[in-house]
Amino acid sequence: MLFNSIHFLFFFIIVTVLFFAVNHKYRWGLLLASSCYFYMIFVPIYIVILGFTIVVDYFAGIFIENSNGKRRKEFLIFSLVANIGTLAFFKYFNFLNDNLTYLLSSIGLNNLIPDLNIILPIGLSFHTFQAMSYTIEVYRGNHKAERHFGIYALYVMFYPQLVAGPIERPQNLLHQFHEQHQFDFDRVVSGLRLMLWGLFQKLVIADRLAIYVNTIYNNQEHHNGNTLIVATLFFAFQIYCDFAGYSNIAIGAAKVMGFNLMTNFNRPYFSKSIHEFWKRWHISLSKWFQDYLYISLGGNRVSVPRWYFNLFFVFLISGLWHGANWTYIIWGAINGIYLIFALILKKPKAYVENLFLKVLPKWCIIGFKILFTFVLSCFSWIFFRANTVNDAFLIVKKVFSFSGSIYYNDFSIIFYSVLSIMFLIIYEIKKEYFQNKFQFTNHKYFIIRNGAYAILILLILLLGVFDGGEFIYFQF
Amino acid sequence: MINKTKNPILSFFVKVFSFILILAISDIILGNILSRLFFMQTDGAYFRTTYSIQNTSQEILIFGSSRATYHYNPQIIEKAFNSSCYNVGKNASTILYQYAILKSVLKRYTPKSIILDLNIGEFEYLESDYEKLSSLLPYYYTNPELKDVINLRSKFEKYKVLSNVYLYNSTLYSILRENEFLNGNKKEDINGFLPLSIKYNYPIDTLNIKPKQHIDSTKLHFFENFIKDCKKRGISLYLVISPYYRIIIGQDKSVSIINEFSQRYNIPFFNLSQESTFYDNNLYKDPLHLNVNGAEIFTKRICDLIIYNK
Repeated sequence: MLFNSIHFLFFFIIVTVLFFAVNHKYRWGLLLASSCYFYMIFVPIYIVILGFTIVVDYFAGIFIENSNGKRRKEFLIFSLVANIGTLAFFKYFNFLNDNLTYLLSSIGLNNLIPDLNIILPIGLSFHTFQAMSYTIEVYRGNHKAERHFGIYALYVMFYPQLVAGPIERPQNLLHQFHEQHQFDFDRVVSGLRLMLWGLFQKLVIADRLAIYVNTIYNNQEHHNGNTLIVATLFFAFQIYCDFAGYSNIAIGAAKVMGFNLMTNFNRPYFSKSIHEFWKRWHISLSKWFQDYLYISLGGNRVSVPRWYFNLFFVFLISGLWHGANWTYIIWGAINGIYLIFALILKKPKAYVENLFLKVLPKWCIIGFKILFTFVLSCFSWIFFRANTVNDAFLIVKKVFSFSGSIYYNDFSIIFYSVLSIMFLIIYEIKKEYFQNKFQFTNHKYFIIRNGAYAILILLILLLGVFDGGEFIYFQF
Repeated sequence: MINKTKNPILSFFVKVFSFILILAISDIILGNILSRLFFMQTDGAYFRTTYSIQNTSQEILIFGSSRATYHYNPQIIEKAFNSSCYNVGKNASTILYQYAILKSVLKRYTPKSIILDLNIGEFEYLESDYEKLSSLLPYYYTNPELKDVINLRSKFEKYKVLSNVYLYNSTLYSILRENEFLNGNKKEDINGFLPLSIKYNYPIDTLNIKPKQHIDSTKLHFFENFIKDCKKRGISLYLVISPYYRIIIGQDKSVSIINEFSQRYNIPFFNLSQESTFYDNNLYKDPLHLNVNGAEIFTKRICDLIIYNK
């Protein structure tokens, strides 16, 4: 079920009303049943895959807790193999097989293994990683194994964050299912406000920008450098609003019922460095990789070359996590390289910065750093969005020619796109630099507060794209 | 008074009700402003749709997609038949839109003749064709005969249109650009015809028809109704596929269907999609659209065919 559908609106109202209407001891059952329904709207049969990993991890958690030494590790490995194996089979089998075919054909051999004719189960990477964090945390002794099967299943399947995160941790989420949540007006309003802003991000900004981005990126061979630059800039805002919009709706929907999900985005395009960018972008995934892969590899408590390798490897895997395509792997590699260069150039950068600080005001330096980080992220987005690696390199080549007039078949597309980006920039500047000023949605007067909500809804109705469809991150 | 309510859930519902009231009032006010501005447009696609639905009175009407808009010059047709003519073609429209326009036209008057320009793959199922019916949303309440067609967009459409603002979704740019007080009385069309001046500079390409085509039964139903309604009102209907700068390889199901219906209902069908006279890049703006020179030659050719057929 899509968050941006009328179907979800009815679903959300019914589930929320029932949640507060039923006794606490039945709430987990209600949430689990509604989460199953939510998931089965996509492809019903795939709930079997989810069920399989839930059963495996539920028992693995208990066995890990009840075992010692080597047996403990064996149960963890069993759980990880089951999770990663499922992910690999459904997400990466055809990718690996296609690459094998390519390799064999280059030496004149045929690959006899046929591709699988399957659709990737929606949100598989998200709930697999969430399930893995549970068994790892139980193994590390940071969390007790959950004995209530229904509640454990709900931890994996909780509908707001089931298909595109935030990727939660057992320490943050599991105990909340045991706690009794009272109806809290302010929290409900705060949750609804987040959902409304998420919907605005998706319908007014992301789906609007997608029209131009898809037109250009799907026919990149016909477009010049300047057009591709505009399309890439638009994509940077599209992907942000698509994913942050989803996260806001998810966090808001959970908040209405009294559940706190972790923050997933913190205005990433105000980052002053790539390092900061990754602390603000898809925070739940970055934290996952940091806690379970980067630190397991030794983190920064190793030799310098090994440290660089760890960083690069983590981003390579992060790229692969996003999709079974070389474009994502290269995108991950580029970000890894950015971080390594940032470390290598740390001292010269600080020196140059100090020099400039003597002649330029601080805000000017900060502005430049924000702009530079944004440009770097835009460059990597080319690989993320391009349909193939060849397309990506052709786009890069054209982009650096800085030539041609900007293409538009219908100027209204550009008009709405620029307008939507302006809305976003104004909102984000207010949030970043004027946190306690211009409080329209938190105003003390009921009429101003509600007027602001009404304006936001009317803007969605007037400018939103209602046929936009799925969220980009569903495919991951 | 609200804060004195002790029950938090009751207090919540009171506040929600108050908010809905504010929202509804704002929606009505903004919706009415938008409605006024929308129908004040003097040019552009929406203006032409409004004119097609509410104001046409010409004896000959041309229906179709962008290929109709760019291919048929009503002035040539008016001279050839000594009758008034208007081109109600619309970019990216399909038989779903065209039948909706016909319903509105027939509610007001009966034209003498209609030329319906169709495309290769006209009846193929495409979800986006239903989304494009959004261009009819502003007429949901002004022209109730269009409701059934607009509701095809989705099963929730009838709830969405409860908002007065939603009816004008994505029309802001057009309202601002094409309005009388900003745009004056500038006209870019000639009786609905939009001449294209650019010349296509590439060699002819080929279009391979997909072996498996999913025909949309709703589109087929609308096409048949279009024919039946014309027959019922005694309108001379002509089915046309105008030229492509493409060599079409394979058998298109839609063309077979048009042929079959033309024979079943005894309606002339002129398939000029592969006429060699039009295999000339000087006549095109792109492989799908004739430029102004191509349109002139093509319109004359169609007039000759209709006169010969009479």
